[in-house]
Amino acid sequence: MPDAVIETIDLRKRFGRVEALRGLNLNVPAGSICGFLGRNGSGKSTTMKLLLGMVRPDGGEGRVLGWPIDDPRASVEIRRRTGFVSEEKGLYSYLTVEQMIQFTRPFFPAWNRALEDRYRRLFELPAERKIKALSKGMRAKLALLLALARGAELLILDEPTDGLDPAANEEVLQALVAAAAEGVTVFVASHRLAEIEQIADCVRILHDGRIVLAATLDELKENYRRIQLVFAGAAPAVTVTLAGMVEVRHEGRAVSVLVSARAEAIADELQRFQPISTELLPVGLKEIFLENVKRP
Amino acid sequence: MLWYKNWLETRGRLLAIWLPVFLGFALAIALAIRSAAWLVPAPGAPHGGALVAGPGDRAAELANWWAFWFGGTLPFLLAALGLILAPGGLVSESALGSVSFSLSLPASRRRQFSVRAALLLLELLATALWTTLLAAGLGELLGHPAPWSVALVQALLTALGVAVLLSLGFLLAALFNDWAKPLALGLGLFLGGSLLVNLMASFTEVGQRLGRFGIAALRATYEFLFNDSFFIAGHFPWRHALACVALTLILLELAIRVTERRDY
Repeated sequence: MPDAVIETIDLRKRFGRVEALRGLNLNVPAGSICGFLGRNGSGKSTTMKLLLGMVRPDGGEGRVLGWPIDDPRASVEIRRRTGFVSEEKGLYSYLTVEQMIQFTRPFFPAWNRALEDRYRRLFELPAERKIKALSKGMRAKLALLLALARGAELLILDEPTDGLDPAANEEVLQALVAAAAEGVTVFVASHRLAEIEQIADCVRILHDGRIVLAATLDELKENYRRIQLVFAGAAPAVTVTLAGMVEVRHEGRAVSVLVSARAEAIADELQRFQPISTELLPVGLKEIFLENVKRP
Repeated sequence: MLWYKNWLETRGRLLAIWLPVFLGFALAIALAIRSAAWLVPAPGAPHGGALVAGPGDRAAELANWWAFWFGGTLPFLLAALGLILAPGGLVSESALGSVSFSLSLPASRRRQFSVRAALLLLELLATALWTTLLAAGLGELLGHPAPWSVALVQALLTALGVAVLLSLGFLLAALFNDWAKPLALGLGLFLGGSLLVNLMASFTEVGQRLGRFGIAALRATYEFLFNDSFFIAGHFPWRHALACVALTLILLELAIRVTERRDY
């Protein structure tokens, strides 16, 4: 298996006049849980569909598990080794839960019966109930079972916890962590940043059709800081621009500086403004996300 | 498992057609057993005939019974079946939200489409054969020796004609990514065209010629697709059969290619 399970170079996709992806350079390391973040309509689902051959790229190239994404035969091989949960969690409404599992199982030679039984029990799925009679949460759980039990090398999940109650949510997150511990790569798109922070090893932020941030969570935690400067009187205008500074906010007697690197060096540089106190505060993923997806 | 899934998807609709047809035949057979004259179409009546009592010329009765069956009833039944069974597959799943699941399976679009089309064609053929068997049985009970093997071959030929229409439906649905729009468009064109031609025919010589041409074209298409000459004349219509098979395959291949190129 290559180092990068998913790799795209300058991937492009246009829908009519709308350019959904404008040169996507995506890299997902093998064995990681990688959070894929972006605003609504940013192209996350389109990216996942491109990776699985549901949508054809207009330019660039991509590989999943070493197979090219734009070759129909290779795409079948990719899907044989990949578990996918779409945002809609759409399944065949006329089948029962049992029939759905029986239908899906033979497609995947590596199907794991032990995992199937485990998640049947854990998710408490009623075998004889028709899918159209399932609640949204139950459908989501069934979709996850069908993805997790495939014995896949890669899981591509689009909002997998959408519609789940907190207990089920936690079960799913633990299932993803367990899968990753077995060597499965998990590529998950989610708006629930707290969950991504909880389980992910790395994040990729998509904005304006491109990846604007690609880093491990450890790197983000280490590099991103908010420098809080407090002044005796009104805060001076901090107009200096230093490498690593992302955003400066003036708030009465305080100046707050978001930095993406060199936090201590920047804090030292800012002492020229003679603050009475200087603090380096950790920054959460939400703030990093919001900063990176600001409209131009 | 694709066969299994498509069977589960269509079996309800299939049985919804089969059951009343079977019951209709059962009732007709029961009535025929009770009164042989009751269901004999009027002698000399063209395709279809009226349900009147009284036997007439036996050769004419036999011809009219099978003209009723092959000339209109069976084609109509199979066309209705095709219309009811056809909606589904990736086109419908696209609207219902399950297409992403189907396309995430390690089965090419060609394979998924082909299995569905093949199953529908088999269901069409099975319907043609068993209903024709019952029709032959009913004919026997009416005292008209039925040419069983000939009837079955004719049923196959009728099914081939409907297969062409079904394949055209598949292609249009693939092009529109919708089942309702092609049907609505087809009906609209047919009704609008008929209205226009009829209006023109009332006022202009050109309109009258168009009208006659249109009717002739429709009749020719109908007779090409639902060619019952084998039953009547006994000569197997090789050209017709091969043409239907070729048309069906070409239309299906075009539909598959459209499906393969579509973004979902």
